[in-house]
Amino acid sequence: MRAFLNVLLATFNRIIDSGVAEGSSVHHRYRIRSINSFCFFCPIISSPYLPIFYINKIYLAFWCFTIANLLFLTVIWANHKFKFLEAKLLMVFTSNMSVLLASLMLGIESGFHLYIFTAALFVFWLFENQQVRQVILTFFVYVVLYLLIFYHSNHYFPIYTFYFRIGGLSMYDLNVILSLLLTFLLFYNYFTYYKLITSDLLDKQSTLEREVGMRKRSEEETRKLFDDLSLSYKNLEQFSYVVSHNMRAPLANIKGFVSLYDKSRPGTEQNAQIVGYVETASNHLDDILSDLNFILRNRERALENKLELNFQTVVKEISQSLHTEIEATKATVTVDAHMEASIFTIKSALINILYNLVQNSLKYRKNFEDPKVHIGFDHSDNHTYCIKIADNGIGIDLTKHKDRVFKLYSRLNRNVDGKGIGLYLVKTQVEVLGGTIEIHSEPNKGTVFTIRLPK
Amino acid sequence: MQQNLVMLVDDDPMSNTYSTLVVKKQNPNTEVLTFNSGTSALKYLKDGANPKPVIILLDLNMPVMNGWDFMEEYEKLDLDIEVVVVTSSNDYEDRNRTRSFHRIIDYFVKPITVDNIRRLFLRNA
Repeated sequence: MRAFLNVLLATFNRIIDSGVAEGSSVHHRYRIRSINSFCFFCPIISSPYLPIFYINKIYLAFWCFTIANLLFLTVIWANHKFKFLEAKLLMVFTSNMSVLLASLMLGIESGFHLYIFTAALFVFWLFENQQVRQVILTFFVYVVLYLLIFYHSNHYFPIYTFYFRIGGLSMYDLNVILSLLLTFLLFYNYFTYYKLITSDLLDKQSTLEREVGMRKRSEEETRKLFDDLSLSYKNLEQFSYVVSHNMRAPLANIKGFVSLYDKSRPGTEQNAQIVGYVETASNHLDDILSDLNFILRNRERALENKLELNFQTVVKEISQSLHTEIEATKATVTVDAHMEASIFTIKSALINILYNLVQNSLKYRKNFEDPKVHIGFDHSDNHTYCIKIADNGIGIDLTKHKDRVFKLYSRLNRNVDGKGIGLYLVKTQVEVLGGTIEIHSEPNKGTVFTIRLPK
Repeated sequence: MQQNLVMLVDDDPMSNTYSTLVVKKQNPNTEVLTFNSGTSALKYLKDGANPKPVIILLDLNMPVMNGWDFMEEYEKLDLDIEVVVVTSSNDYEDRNRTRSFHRIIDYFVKPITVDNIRRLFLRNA
């Protein structure tokens, strides 16, 4: 007996648990089990009636009940197949039908309204808030039915020996009040739910936008870093190419002269000359290596700290260092900047830049004109400092030499002494400060260098 | 065209001295003209009265007017003197670029040798 009961209980549990999966939430589990229990018991309760109907030849009732019971069992089956939505809809339909039938049996006249009421209850019980469509659908169904209550009077539907009355109720009828309450609940439920999901969506959207914004910014930063790195690499490539290229010239001379050295007759005049040439070429080679050192040391300036400097003071310092050259060439160096104007930058870099440019202006002066150098400083822009160095010197033919002006070891004038590294150093210093340099010049019409540094 | 006249164009005076020594070593009778810039060399060539060399040895790496600038101006003169590029770099791109000038017949890497000059004269002969 006990074993039989156990088996019964086990089977019962198995049926009730249809649709309950391993990871189901407590909420889901409760719901499914309630639905399954209800759908299991309704057929059991109504099954005694079936033979009664059949025997009494009330075939309509018999068939209605049978179909309803089958539908109840189908609900359990749907849950078992994890088709929860279908199960729920079926459930609403079958339970409503059962209520109808039950009121039929019990002879409740306003059974139709009872049907509406219970069906609505079921909707609230069965459907989770996520299923808005079902709520809306039910709502519309009930609007239609509600209208039926108020706007159709006294329709009688004959169902076998009973009549169902639809409509013609007063406002004070319990069913009507309940239906009004129901409508209100439906509305309320719908709108609160709608607000909930909208605000939830908006939250999610703003979080997403923020994340996308952050990602975009970090992407941009990465891209900028990459561009900086590429530029540095390109500069390094060019630098090493030029330096090694320029070292080959004196080295080739040394090799050549050594090959001409006549070892069999060491004391000759020609041999002595050759040794002299080798010495000169070696010194030349050494110079280039010193240049290399000098250029590399200049790059270390980038690591120094920035300071707030008074622009006029900086220019005065430079004029003092170039004091001899300025006097010798009868030059004038003027500054166009506010007395208090200051610039926040690396001191040694700025001095190096201005020193080189002013020195160039003095070196490449016109023969019969006193050199005039004018330095302008403009910090009115919120983002950049603008420094202009203008002179009245011999100028540069930019139509021919535009690409070579700032290149390492590119010399554009044979008559003036120079290695061709001055402007290259200026450009690298400007780049170290994160700025740009432009040149405007015409032969015999002087030169203007415009330097823009970020604030 | 003076058959034993060679023109050197190089801004480095030491390089010119060396090249002169090498040319003279190959044949002491060869005369050498040296120019420190492309402009002065072109000026010489433009003047019809000046004896034309049989070959020009041209350096690439010169200030203001480099070897390529010189070649562009030289082609305009339409002289039939052949040119040999002499340079301290064995750069692939430089070598390639010599192909675009039909007067350039060879490419020597510094330092030039007596053998270079000998082969040059053999070809020309």
